[in-house]
Amino acid sequence: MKNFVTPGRVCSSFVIFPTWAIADAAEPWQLSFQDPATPIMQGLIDLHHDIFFFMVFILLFVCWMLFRTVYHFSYDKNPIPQKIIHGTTIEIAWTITPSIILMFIAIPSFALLYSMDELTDPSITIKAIGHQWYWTYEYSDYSSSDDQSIVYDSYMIPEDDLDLGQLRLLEVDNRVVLPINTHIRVIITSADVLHSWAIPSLGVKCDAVPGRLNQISVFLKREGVFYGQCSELCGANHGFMPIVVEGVSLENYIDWVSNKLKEI
Amino acid sequence: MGNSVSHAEAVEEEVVVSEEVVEAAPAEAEPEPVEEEAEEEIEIKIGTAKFDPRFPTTNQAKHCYTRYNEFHKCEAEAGADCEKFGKAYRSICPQEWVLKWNEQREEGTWAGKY
Ligand SMILES: [Cu+2]
Repeated sequence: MKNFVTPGRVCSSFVIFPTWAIADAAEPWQLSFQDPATPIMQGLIDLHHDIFFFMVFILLFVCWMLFRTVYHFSYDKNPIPQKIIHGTTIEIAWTITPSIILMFIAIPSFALLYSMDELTDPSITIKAIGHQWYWTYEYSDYSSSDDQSIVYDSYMIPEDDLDLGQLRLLEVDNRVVLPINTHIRVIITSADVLHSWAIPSLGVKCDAVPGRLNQISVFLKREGVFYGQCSELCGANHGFMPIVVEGVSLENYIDWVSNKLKEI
Repeated sequence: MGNSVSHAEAVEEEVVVSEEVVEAAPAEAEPEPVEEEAEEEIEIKIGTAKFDPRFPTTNQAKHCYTRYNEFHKCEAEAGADCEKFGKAYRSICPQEWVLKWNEQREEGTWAGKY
């Protein structure tokens, strides 16, 4: 068992479980989170682990108490259970201790909640507009007239058209291209019914509501292709309007934008 | 997944990162406009509507509407130099909304003042 994790074994595990290398999409029998690509998702994972510590502690403590109560206060051993009927000290203890535990959960939770709402001065605004059943994306920062924006639809690639290695029900024809290490404002809305723009790796899930422009901020820490799905039941093809974000370097993003602008 | 960074540290770290980026992003963005070697040179300036303290909420619909009106107010009153307002509303508003509003303005059914 010595040297269990050798480079060779790691590589072969990538062959056996290819998604280990790019855990930016859901995989079969997945138990944990997808790999974080934004500080927000890192924060969410950390908060989950923080709270899990308290959950395990409380679970063990309650089980231990239950077990002891059932064992010691059985009819044979202890016919009259109520020897103590009142105790101020213990009442104070079992009131204060849970409040302190709740405080330890609440503080990081609120810190994360408010940091998610924060919008650092963005350099790029993109718009995601939900339709039955596809997404439309708009890049309007570079246009000088109302109908000159980069606007395109993003449809799921049907199963029959998939290339080898593409993900079923997750791949789209036109991805969202975003630069890394840049503050991005995403404005999410809908043109018909409720949808939800969600990407687990980015820690993003935001409802698309007609008539409302929901704003979130995204800051990609690494390049990659991040997969998500519409997360608000929106009709028959709700399950077939995935979201794909491609995180690229700023230079590549600029190249992509200028190519798109030439197409208009 | 085996992250041992305590939460307080993680939050601090995040703050540092964002500061760093505020400095880094303009520095990266400044060398633009990048001149394309292609036939028609398209200048791309990275920049968008700034965060507006009047609209700190998640819902930016009012932000869009206000910026659109500001642009037309500017056009009606100053008549020139309104492009920064134009850029701002175009960044925030969905194209569909803008085109609908433009149509209403042409038809004279627009509810706004300008
Ligand atoms: Cu949907």
